[in-house]
Amino acid sequence: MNRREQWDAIVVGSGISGGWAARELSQKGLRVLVLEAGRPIDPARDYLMNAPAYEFDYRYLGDQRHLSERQPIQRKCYACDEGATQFFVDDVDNPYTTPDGRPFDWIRGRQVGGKSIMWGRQCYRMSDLDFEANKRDGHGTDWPIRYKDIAPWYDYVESYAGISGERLGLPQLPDGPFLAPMPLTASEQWFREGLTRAFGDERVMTIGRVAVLSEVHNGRPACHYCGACHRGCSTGSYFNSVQTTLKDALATGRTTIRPFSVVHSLIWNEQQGKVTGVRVIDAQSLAGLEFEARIVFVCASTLESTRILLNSRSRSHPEGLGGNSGVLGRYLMDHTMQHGARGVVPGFENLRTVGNRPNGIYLARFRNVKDQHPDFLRGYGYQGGGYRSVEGWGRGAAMRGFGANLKESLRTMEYGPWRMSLGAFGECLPHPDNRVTINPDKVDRWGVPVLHIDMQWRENELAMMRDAQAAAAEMLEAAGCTNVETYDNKTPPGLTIHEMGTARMGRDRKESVLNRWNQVWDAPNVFVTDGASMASSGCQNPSVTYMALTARAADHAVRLLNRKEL
Amino acid sequence: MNRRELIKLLGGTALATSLSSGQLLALGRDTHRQAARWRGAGFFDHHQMHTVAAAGERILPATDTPGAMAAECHRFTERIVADHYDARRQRRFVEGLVNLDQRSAARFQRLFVQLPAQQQDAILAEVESDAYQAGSNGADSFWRDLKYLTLYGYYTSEIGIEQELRTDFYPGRFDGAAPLGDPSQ
Repeated sequence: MNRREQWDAIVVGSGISGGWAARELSQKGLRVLVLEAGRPIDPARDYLMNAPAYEFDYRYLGDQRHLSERQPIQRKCYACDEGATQFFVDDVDNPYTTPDGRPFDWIRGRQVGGKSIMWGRQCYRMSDLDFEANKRDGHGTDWPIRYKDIAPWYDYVESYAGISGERLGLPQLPDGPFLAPMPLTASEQWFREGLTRAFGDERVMTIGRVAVLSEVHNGRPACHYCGACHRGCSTGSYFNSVQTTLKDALATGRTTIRPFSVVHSLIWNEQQGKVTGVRVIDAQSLAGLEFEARIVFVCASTLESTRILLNSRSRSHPEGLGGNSGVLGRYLMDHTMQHGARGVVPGFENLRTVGNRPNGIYLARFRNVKDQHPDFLRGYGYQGGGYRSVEGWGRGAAMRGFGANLKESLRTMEYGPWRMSLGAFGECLPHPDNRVTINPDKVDRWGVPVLHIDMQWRENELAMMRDAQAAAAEMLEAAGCTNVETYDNKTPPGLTIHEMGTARMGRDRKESVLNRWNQVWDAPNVFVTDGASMASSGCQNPSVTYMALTARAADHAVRLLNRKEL
Repeated sequence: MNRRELIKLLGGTALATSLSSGQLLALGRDTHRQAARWRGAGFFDHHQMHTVAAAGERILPATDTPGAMAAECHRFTERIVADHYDARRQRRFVEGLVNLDQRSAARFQRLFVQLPAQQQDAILAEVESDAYQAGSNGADSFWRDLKYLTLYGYYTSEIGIEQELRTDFYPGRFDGAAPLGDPSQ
């Protein structure tokens, strides 16, 4: 027997997007059920910050056997260290497939808070350069919104989340209500001056815009610069849904968070011609449950959201909910990453850094902003930083000798030169053959059919990656760096964890899954507001855009409910 | 530890055959008494654990701060050798420990753990020198493994972090251009 419960709204997922949906809907008076596939999180118990190494069995070297057996994909993410490995999924329980020779590293977090616990926290607005891109060059479908539609919602979510950064007035990288910028290092400041000397206003470097508090904000303390945000912050000084949006949602008294609730699919009621609820598998008992609601917000993360839609098959929607458009699962995007250049910065021998800044620099997009590059469309930005190389005790193993002298000599740090590095994040063109489908032959531990992910970097991305390396080297050299070298780690798609698209917004129901308010064209009481909804990728870290889209959609949903239009 | 085990441990060196059975018995009894102190997770036997601890203490001895033995580096070493090393490297590590005893027996007619510090240092210096002579700057050797794990275990231990390095985990600020020599930093 299925148990049925009736809610005003169900929110699937409790990460960046789900947290916002829960907060906005419950604060506007709705009774909200948040369904989270993973376990509950208690910051007091689960957030480890910069816990000293001796608190861990392997002292941050990680449990290699466990990682190779249970997390061979998740371990590729830099944040999946011994203090945060528990925030990443078990790859054996959560399988997916890819074609031979075309890897896609799908990084996932299943717990209350989702990936908002170990995300990279960089927040950059998209601009009309991005929202008009598809229309301009014909790749993908035209966004149904422009910057003016989302700008007030960027203001709204940024004011709440607290983004530290520097206002620049760049049209391609709009400013927000920033908290004080974090300081640059000596070599970053030096590079910035050299860059301006060489390129004027055309190329602009700034401190990263980051959802980490540089000052007390909305009752949350400022960052203490321990540098290990991805393990969870006891003081709640970076934005994660557990300590912000979900907390607010619970405070309304109208929100219930149900962990261990794996959503299988949405329930399409043929008689009523609409979605009436969701099918859930209890992750612990494996019991099948159903929950009913007037509206559903699907915020399960880009590919999990699309997986739920694809698995929501019915007579009216044989290809899944939204599948009648023919584009559900298509136009998967990610940003290219881990290619750029680095060099040595002369001077500043009498300076060093103190503290661990959870942030780097950002160099705003300059390609195809005014002129058209002959080799590729769209553009890229850089992230990176400038630090002094320093060796502590780690150098000791390779030194000859042992005993009291060795111990004494390892007490002092050995400072090397300052360095500067630039790593590009490149836009990915929406392409119909970068797509996900349901693999009919495979289910996960809870019996839910899994995804087959087929994605590759194509000609435009590859041309852009080559240019980004050369341009990075050019800028470092122009600023006066020595020993400049380019690099390309040949990182496959997925690992940037900026996967986007597959249930895109659009103007035409035959060309898109969602309308301008993130409603499924064929099921208007279903909203998909996470990365799945993106019609193009820009080159900016996208989470803040998901926040804004979610808050905007929630506002619209409540307005429609109040007008009895849903 | 009985005579057969002791002889096996010594790997059939000259020592094993040149000691009288009375001496061997005394040696064995002493080793056995030590054994209870060196009970680990089960990968090393007591004697191996004791040997790792003794060698570690010579690599990072107690000075004005405690050394590797107090920081229990041998336990960390055991964990990594047991859980991270492949079979070939595990075998090399265990053989390396046997070799410490063989060298100790050949030069000083004792097990490594029974030698005074100065003689232990002489044995370790020999091992290091041979590792470097074998090439690759000693990188791919029992010696490097032992030394690396001792250092890693020490500087990530409570003693290493709080007494030796005095690491400040929560600096409360970031300064990107702080003067190098200022002790208040």
